[in-house]
Amino acid sequence: MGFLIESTLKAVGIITSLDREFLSIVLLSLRVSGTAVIIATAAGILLAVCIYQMQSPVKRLLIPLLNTSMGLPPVVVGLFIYLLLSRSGPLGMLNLLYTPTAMIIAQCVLATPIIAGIAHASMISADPEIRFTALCLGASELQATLRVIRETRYSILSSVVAGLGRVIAEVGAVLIVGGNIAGYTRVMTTAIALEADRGDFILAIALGMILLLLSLCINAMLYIFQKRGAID
Amino acid sequence: MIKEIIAKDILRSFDSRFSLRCSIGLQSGQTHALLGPNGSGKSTLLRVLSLLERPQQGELIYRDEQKNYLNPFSDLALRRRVTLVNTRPVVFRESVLKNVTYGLRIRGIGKKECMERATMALRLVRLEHLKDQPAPLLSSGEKQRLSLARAIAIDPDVLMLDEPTVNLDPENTEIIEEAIKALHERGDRLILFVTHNLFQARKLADQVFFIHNGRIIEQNSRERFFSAPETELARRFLRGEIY
Repeated sequence: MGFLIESTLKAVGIITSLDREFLSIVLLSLRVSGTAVIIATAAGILLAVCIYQMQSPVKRLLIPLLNTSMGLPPVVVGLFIYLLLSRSGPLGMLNLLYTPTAMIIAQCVLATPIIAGIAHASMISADPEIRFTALCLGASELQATLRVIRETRYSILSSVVAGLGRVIAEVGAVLIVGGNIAGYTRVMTTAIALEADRGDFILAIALGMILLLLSLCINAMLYIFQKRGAID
Repeated sequence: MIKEIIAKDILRSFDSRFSLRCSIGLQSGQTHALLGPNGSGKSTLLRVLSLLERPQQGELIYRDEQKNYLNPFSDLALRRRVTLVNTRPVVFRESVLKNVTYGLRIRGIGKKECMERATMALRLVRLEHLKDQPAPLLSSGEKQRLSLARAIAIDPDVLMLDEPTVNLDPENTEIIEEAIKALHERGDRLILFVTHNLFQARKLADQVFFIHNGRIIEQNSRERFFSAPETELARRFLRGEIY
């Protein structure tokens, strides 16, 4: 117990002193996950809009496919991206393996279906009269869809936050494609795994605290957006 | 300005139990009432005529001073000259004013003109004092008036209204009826409204269409329809025997 308290106090010390290694890991995590979520938001909402507007029978196939992709195992995604980016893979010439860009790609693949799935579900559960009213007032098909997005904006924001929650705490995919290189591709989750493995718990606890704090903030945002959506 | 709408043998069916199959002609400058019992196809006909639902068969022609629009469903610019006010008013989650300017903003109309037209429309339905209120907080009567104001601001050539005063109190009903009359007095608009309120039809309409089981049974001037209907079904409807 004494060891745990002592390690925790030292971890708090690392956080308050803004230790350089600690800070670089946290900032890289935020940069990778933030960039991935921004790209995944654009792709996810676009995908949701396309499926929402689709009239073809393919839609019946796409929705279960999208729902299945929401639970993609991160290690499988990591492995798939690794095979694509490895030297002998189809995108090997880009030399992206073991770079933050590879980690962003992997996290994008994980977050996009979550954002698209939740955004699409919000749009189809919105009052169908919203779309019809927009059309009655002269909206084009796209303008009517944009109106539905606007009316369900809090649910769609929830999907973005859920996507961020998924990628920031993810370890499998970034470990495979990033390689956990110190000062270059080491993010919070991979650093915690490595430090715990090495028996150096102080940095792991410090990073764990930040990760928990981020998760708490993400969930608080999710709660606020869901509540505002419910009130509206 | 749209001069005429002609629907020839249009068919719109949903299942084996109900199908709308009718022909109808509407003229600009006239207010038309569409009467009929529940489930007779009034709302379906309104949605087809307002270019929101394609019929499975038949021809729908819009005609203005320049030309006949033989394929009106694929013409967004034409659809924007027609506005339907739905039975259940759905308001957007923003202010009353923004709700009214929505139809103008999507047409690319400038901010100043949007404000002028929205203010005029809100004044006509007596909602000007609530323009900054969030629209979802309005009462159902006010929402229905807002719904009409959105259409008035657009100033469409063709205005269609699906039971515009259903479930409203006399005060809200009167405000809406006055607004419809004011539009009619502009002289060149084509107005078609569905109602179950025979007094309202008598008060507002120039022409009356009576629909039953998806067929137009009778078309007559207001005076003739209410004083000497030509068909037995219309007489029974006016006596309150079918509803």
